[in-house]
Amino acid sequence: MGWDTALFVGLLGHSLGLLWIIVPAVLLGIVVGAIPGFSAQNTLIILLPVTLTMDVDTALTFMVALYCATHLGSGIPAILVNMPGTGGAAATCLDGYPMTQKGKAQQALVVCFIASTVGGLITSMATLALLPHLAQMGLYLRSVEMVVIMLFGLVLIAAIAAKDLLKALIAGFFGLLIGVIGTDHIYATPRATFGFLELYDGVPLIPALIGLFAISEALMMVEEKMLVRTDGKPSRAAQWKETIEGVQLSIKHWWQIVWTAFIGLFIGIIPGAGASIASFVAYQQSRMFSKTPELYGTGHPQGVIAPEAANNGVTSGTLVPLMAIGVPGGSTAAVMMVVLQYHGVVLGPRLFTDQPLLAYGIFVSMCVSYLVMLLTIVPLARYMSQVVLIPTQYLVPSILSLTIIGAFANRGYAFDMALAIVFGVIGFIARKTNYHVTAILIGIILGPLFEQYFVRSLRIGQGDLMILFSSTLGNVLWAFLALSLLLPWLRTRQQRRATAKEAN
Amino acid sequence: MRGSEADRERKAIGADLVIPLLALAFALYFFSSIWNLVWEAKANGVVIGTILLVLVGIQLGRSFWGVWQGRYRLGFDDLIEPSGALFRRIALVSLLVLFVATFHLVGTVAGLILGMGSMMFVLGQRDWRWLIGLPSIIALTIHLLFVVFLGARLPAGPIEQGIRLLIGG
Repeated sequence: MGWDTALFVGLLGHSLGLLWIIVPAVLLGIVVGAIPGFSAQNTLIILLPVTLTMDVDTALTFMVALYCATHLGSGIPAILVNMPGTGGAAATCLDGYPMTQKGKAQQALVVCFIASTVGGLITSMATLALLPHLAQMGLYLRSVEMVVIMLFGLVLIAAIAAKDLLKALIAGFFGLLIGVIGTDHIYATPRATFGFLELYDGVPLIPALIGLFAISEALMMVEEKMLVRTDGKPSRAAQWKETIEGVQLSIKHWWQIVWTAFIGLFIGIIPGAGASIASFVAYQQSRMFSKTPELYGTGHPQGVIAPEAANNGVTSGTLVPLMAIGVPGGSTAAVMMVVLQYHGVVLGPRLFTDQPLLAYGIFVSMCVSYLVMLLTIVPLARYMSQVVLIPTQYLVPSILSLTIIGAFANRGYAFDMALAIVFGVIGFIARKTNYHVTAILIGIILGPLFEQYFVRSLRIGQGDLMILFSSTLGNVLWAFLALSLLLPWLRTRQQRRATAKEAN
Repeated sequence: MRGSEADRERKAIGADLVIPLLALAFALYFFSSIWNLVWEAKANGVVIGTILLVLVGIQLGRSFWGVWQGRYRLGFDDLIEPSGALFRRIALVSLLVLFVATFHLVGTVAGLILGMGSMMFVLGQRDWRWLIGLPSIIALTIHLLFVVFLGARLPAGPIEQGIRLLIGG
């Protein structure tokens, strides 16, 4: 089906007519996304009885708006208090929180909001135009290619280790080994579960995230009276000037928003891959192609743009395999599939000819949701940034209370709260001794996925490692991966030579 | 006296070894748990665990060599200083553990009010209006958001039952 302007205008009008459901969904999504432990998937499951009573268009619009808003909301605590709302915002902490510590929380929030909304908007429009072609892409990516994509994310462990490579590698491999806890993917035999049934499904991501980031950061904050040092001067009220600065920064780096959002879109299309992988890969690629890679990790706006644009690019990508071939790209898409099937919608290639209003309408609703977010949330950055001025005496107990409940709410196990405390202590020790907690988290997130695709590839190849180099697309990705590793090394060498020449 | 000053000048690296030692212990436990499994179940873990052991070995070797040469000492300064903050941290973690152990009995709202109030006390707040007011607002907001709006099943205690009676639930 080609581009049909009349159809698009009709769909746009229809979606604008659903603003009454989009606005509350966006607000709820932002709040839910900002609280660790309450993902879009959980919220949609809880609200399933409500969505099942709506007509299919309204239900789908509500779910899509909420889903997109959670991706945006998760970046807010990552920037303000170094506590990502979801795994997809973990990479945002790397530069978002240092910006806050430098007194640039408002700019960081604005950059995050614009990168998220514009990235999401561009990719949903691209999906709308290229939907049938994009749907084919998911079919080309198999276990072998996925192994290489996972390695792209893992390379970030080395990339963030600017100060001490050995410590970062220990943290990363420690995380990877923690990620292997649980039953194996083939025979379901338990490994290193310490006898806990709660660990048979692997280490749950939410308690690990809450512990490593929120609890450990709260324990770090105890030493300070405020997050931002005012050096005795009275704290300055937030000004619109800083919001405008954030907008200017975003405009300056518009191209980065575009290409990192597309990384998110392509990774989102792959069933099983998600926002966490997309944001880590986008951060790593952004750092690699940057002219100033040394600024990453120190509060660099581009380090906020890349993961935020990518994790919102994922939102439209996740829905592509669902609509085109009836395979949900992620857990949230699976909940949406339940609602669609309840309403008798048959998913698959025929959907685009039988029910084009529904098939394309979902992406138009997504565009409208992102527009609503862009217009409503950017001005609010001025007020949100004031959170950093709350004394730690109030902030620390609030963070600890909210997140410990978040750890419980995800699965309803008190065990998960205890696990969050254990990870909190590990994270605190790691922070104090410069073992990067993000490297541990990358390992925990990517470890199980890497194992799943790696073992599946080996089984297909009957144990022969050469299976990993058996596909053309896979080999192209291997070449890119090698380039990712070589480029920074070549650049450093070039810089050293230039410095030596200048010295002579 | 001079000896202790020289001691202080040397960098304390004991804290730096906590994560590698934890990783080492976990890797050994991991190997013991997968020893008899089929290759599909242990291939990935063996590769990762072996690399981790090598890395930890290098870090430990490097650190102990430095101690042997007199450049480092095995102190835990990074973790225990400043001492006031250490006590506050231990108290906060203990309160969290206490909350996890008791919130099924006292209910989420009461547990949060008591837990959060105690944490604020540990962090230096002595004004009882703050100690009761802020935790109550946060706990009731959590109840409203998680339980009333989102339908999450958090353990209920006397306060939740009171709220239910009040709103006729």
